[in-house]
Amino acid sequence: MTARDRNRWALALAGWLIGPVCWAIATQAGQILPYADCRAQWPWSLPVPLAGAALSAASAWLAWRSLASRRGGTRRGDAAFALVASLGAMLGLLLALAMLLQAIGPMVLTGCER
Amino acid sequence: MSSDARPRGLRDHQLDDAAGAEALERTWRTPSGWRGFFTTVDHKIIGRRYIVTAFIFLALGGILGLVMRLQLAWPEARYLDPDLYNQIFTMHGSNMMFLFAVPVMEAMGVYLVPLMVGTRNIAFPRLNAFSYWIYLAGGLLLWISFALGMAPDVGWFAYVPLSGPQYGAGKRADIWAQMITFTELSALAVAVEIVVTVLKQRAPGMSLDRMPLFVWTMLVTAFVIILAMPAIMIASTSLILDRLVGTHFFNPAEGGDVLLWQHLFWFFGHPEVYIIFLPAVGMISTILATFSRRPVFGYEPMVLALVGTALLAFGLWVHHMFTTGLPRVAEGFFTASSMAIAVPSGLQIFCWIVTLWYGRPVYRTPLLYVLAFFFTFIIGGMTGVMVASVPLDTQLHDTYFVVAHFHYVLIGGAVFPLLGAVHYWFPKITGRMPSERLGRWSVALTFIGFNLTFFPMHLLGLQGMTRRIYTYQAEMGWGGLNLFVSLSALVLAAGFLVFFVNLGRAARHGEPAGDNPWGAPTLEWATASPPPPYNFAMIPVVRSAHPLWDDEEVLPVASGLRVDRRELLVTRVTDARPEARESSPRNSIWPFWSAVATTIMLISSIFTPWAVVWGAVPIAIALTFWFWPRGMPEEES
Repeated sequence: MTARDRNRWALALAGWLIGPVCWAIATQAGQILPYADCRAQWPWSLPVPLAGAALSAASAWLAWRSLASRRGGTRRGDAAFALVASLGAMLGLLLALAMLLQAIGPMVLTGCER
Repeated sequence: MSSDARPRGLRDHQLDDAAGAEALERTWRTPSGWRGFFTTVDHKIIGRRYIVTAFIFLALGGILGLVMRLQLAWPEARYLDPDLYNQIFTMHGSNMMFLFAVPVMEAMGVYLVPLMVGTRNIAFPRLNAFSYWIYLAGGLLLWISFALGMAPDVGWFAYVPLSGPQYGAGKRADIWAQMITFTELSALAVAVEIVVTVLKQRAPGMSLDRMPLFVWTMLVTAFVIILAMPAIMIASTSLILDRLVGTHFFNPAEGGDVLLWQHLFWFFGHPEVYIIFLPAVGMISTILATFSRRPVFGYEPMVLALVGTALLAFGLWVHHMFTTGLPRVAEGFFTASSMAIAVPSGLQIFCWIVTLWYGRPVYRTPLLYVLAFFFTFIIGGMTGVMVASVPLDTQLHDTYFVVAHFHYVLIGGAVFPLLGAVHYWFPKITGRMPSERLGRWSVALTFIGFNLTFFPMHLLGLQGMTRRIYTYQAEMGWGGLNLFVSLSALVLAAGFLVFFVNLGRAARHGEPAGDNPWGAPTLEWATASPPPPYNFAMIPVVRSAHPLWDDEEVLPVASGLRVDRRELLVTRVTDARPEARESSPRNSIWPFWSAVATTIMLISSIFTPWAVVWGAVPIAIALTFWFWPRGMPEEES
């Protein structure tokens, strides 16, 4: 595998890694930060999912770019690569959507509600 | 020819078809009689055993369900006392989730995955044998305790403090916790086998984009198992430690945390729903493609949906804990994930509908089960979105609405596809065709019986009937609906009875099936029905995602594997390019003895912690014999 190939694979896998990691962090932060929200009367739990959504969307774009650079390939490995890259792109978008939905809670609640 | 006189290094291409098959048969066969019964490592025999055992547990659990319905048919009935009722609903739930649903889905993978990826046995076949014996031991532990009147009575999720040392007297909760250890150990072993089989043993040419969707679902499910199951094993072990040696993991008075149990349990428990559902997705996709006579629409979105669902499944667990007093913002995060998971699920449903729409559907029994799935699962999915909403869940928590919801999801979403899948692959497993007429009767009875049984439970829940009550007063006004539900349960049971009778009759007297009776496209149909011990005389080479449709005349094959020892082809993860020839272990009695030793240690450790120390000795001895070199050809590098 050449260095160029390795870079493409790294970009293709970005959606597989960055999105899930951001989402896991946002989900954990969503359990921890509401107590701080309530004490400080400021939505600390809001920026985490928003930043995660942005990063996840960016990783989806990177994966999509790596896919575009491989289009038209005829080798057998190209089709498998295309599947991995396009799945990475779609996964990044799906998790970005999940984090945007998570951000709604801190927008409308104070963190003190039980 | 004696084994000593046989030439070493004999390859398949050096023999004609008949001689090659004979040599492979000699190398891969399981001896008949008791010796073969206890020593086999053939994935087909073990898979079949798993499936039959799981269906026996289903039947037993179903009988318990009927007994509960008898008790609830009338107000203030006294057929069961409260203690026995507690045991029965605990047994029903634990049995169905841990002894039927998860194992049967894995069992389908154990049987089918090696055939679908075109290899000769599952990876780590001795571990596979071990996993079955451990699973059986866990099931026997639970059911023997029930027969002795000391079955768990703490519900299938065994919340503390009810199951803790303060309130859970005797050994009932310990039996539940140790049953968990047995079944999860077994499940983890199978998951590891499936991951390695799928990633490293695929037929040459079966790149990731050509893998059958069922294989994708089993791969994703195996990863979910590997990530989810340790949480419940840690939880159940901590519970036993609290009860046996006086630790305080779940005792708030000593710095423990009661909610920790719920977090650990549901971190496993919610993904478990998808451990059960995702294989069903693969079954539906396989059946739909075959009977619509076209590939499933949207291969990539379908795989995305699998992976996305598996990931999001790990962010939903708190929606089982909405009434525990967590901050509402925190709960909102889990509502968000619960809503987001509807996206991949919906994507799958639309792909399947388009497949049917653009196909030429042939409405045979397996497809009818899939249609039954559509109706019931969509209702279950919609009520799932309802209870993912905090305000509604606060009202409906622990009512029969939730009972109705999860039966719609689990029976509609997994059992209907499973029944269809068993019907679909039955000709491959037995070589005989089940009756279409009885098949249609079983679909009709189970579908009608199921909906008449469980839909009214939504109404009972909305009327305030809570779960787990052993009786109710006539003034509550629930009597009429409960009687209707109980009578409908008989229709559902009749549907299952017809299903079992059909398969039982077909196994003995069914029409011979032939290799590919449904005209299916995947590799398991490229070999005989039932498959020979070595699965394929020559390893197939895959050139498309639907090899039996696109290469119908002659399936290309790879040659060069030895026939005088058990040998497999190892291929690359992404494009399945051949990398190496690898040996596969022979039959052995030691997985069985290792499972016996592990069982003795685990059961004894309910009574004394020293059992872990002394029980480790026989396990170590059994494992030593398991791995001890015996100079077999399989041990050559």
